[in-house]
Amino acid sequence: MSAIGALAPATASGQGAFVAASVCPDDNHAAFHACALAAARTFNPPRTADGTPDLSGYWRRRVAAFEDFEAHPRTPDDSGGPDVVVDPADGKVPMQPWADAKRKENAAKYLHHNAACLLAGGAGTMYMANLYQFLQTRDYFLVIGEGLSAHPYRVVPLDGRPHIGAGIRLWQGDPVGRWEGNTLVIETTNQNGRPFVDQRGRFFTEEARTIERLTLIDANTMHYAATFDDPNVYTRPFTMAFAYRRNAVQGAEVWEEACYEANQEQMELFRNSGFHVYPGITAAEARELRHAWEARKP
Amino acid sequence: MKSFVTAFVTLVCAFPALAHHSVAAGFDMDKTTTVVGTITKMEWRNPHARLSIQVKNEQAALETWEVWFSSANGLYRRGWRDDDLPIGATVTVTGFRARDGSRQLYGGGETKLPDGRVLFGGDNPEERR
Repeated sequence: MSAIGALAPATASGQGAFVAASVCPDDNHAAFHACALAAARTFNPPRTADGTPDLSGYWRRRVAAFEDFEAHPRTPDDSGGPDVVVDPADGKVPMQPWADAKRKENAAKYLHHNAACLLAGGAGTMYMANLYQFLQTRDYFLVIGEGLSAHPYRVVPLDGRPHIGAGIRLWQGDPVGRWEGNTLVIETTNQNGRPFVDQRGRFFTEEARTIERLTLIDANTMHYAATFDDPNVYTRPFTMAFAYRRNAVQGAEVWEEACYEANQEQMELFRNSGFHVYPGITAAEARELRHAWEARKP
Repeated sequence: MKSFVTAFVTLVCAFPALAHHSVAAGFDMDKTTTVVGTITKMEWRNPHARLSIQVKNEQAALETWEVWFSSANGLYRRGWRDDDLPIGATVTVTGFRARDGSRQLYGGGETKLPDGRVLFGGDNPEERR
């Protein structure tokens, strides 16, 4: 039997609903966001032994926000979906003009990081569209998953430690978590500015900061909101929001998915087609490009 | 063995989406190509499984085509199993051809098995279990 047979025992894979029912419909993210904020005010979540809300378990998302933060149609290359941006209210990502031009250039020249088996960044890891497992102790919140491309994981300390030194830059950044009431708040700094934030070439620099908020709104639904703040690229902070729905498939488990196992032929094909790995952008480079854009003659 | 290779412009989006990453960077998604061939090898790998088939071209010469699919994990979760694709079996694969002109397809459409069953090769998260 080939390698696939050794991955794991078969998991039940019947048709029908693969997520549990939710108190808030999640087909429209703005509507879900408003409903979830109201539901969270009255829902008393199940708790762990230490008294904090219990976010653990297997979770799924029903949309592919990594394709495009803004509404986009279903095509042979996209699953499609509505805006995931809930602030600003128009659902648009508030790109600076030079950055929007750069975004279009990025999309035409460079591969999305996942194509090269590279990591997606802290928040970027959270809006893939497959299976997630959240694990929780008093001192750590952990994220693993399958179908998230480069088999990423996140280890979020909850013990009040400060961020790591400013000179350290990481693909996944440095996440630090804390509880605000029933909401887990994760602040991530120290990212390296190498991944895109979506497949339309949107980007950030190493000075970006993201704030994620995870809140149970019923036993089987989690409200997720992530605020991206990078004044080098965006005109203002913006927030995306969506639902995590509790997995309803019996026997779910995260399987090994070694992205590097066989990606070289694909990479050769991408290179032959003129695409290259996105090199990232520093804050200094972003400011330089912005100044050059603003200095252009009309 | 019947040949062969046919291509046509995609008029309607009938396939499950493939947006694990931008497949369009390597494959021309404006048209589909259908290949009929005999299996010589199936590699269950991540991030993309690969099927090798021999296809008879219009000059009756045999050509090797490589067909890329979703991840091995994804195929398994969709119901594909090792013995679905035995060496020597004839399969019909519809997908998107490589932009560089090489004989490679992304099998995002249908793969028809010898017994008539049809399996999807795409990466639609709604269909992943």
